[in-house]
Amino acid sequence: EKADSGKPTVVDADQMAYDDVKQINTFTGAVIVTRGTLLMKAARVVVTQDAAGYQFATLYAAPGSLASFRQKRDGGPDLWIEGEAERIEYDGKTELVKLFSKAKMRRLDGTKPTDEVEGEFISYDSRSEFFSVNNTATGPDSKAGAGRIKAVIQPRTPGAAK
Amino acid sequence: MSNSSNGAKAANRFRLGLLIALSVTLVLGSFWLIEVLRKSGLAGITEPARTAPDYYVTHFTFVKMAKSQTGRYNISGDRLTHSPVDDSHEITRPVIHNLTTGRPPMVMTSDRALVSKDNTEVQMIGNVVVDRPPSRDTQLFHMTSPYLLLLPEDDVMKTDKPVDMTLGKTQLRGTGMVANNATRQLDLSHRVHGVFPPSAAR
Repeated sequence: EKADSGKPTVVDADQMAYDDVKQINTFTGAVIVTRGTLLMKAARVVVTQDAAGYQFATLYAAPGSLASFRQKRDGGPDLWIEGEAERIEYDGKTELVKLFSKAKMRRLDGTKPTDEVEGEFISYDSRSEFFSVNNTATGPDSKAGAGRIKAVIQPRTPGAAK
Repeated sequence: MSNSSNGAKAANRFRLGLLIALSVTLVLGSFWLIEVLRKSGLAGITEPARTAPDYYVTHFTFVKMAKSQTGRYNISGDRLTHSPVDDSHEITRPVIHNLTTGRPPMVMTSDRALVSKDNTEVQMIGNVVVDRPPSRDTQLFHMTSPYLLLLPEDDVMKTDKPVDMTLGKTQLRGTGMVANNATRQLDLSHRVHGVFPPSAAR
């Protein structure tokens, strides 16, 4: 949600290695990244910062598992968005979340998924709450024959939107 | 009859002679033993090794020179006390400056320090504070911990205790740290908690 923008980014982990020359923090071991309602989990997280103090985090899943992401959505008391992928890139400046390979993302109303997408690459803009799905992790556009995208959009029950 | 009494006398004389010879050997043997013990440092036992400090220096600065004759690091403090038992020094209110050229200068202070093994190990004990000012290519570094082991020759500092740290604007906490000022790598080994503030450029 928008209020997350002004919140600090907090990282909890088992270990941390800091490269003072490149000014890169690498957190390892059950890493949890939070920023307001944004919650991300992974086995290894690399955090860098730009001169203006914006953070950029790349989350790597442990082999065989997935890094996860969850954030509250504006527009309702209990609206959420969740996702997981083998690698997640979070840009603290644009607040874009990019999910790479085996990417899944779903919107939830409380705990009930309202729609869900799968693909090789999902990009989610947490400010506009708009996401796009592609079948290739390498580019902004899909490539012919590169893989399937699956989207499940739940029917709006009449009168539920009020 | 006289034969037998002569025989008995001779036997007596022989037994007496044997006894005298035995006691003389014993006496000489014990003298020899004492002599051996005395030579092998028997005297050391008699004079107890000195444990109390043998000298102290007040308001001092010790500068370790690099081969290039520039100062590598210096240690100053209110009082330095030498202990002859293990040839170590205890310093009250030490201030240690790391001066190696080409590397960011660092200042370390604590309640006291123990310098041992001819200055290759410096244990900083109680309220340890480490400060490094920001420079063109390094962020501000500030760290506190109850204990810190310095290895000045390797430019390494390490602790197994909790540390609180500021790196630029990032706050970091953890238990167990190894920082290598030469390779400029820093590792926290347990229960790491980091807080990156939101950018001020909002």
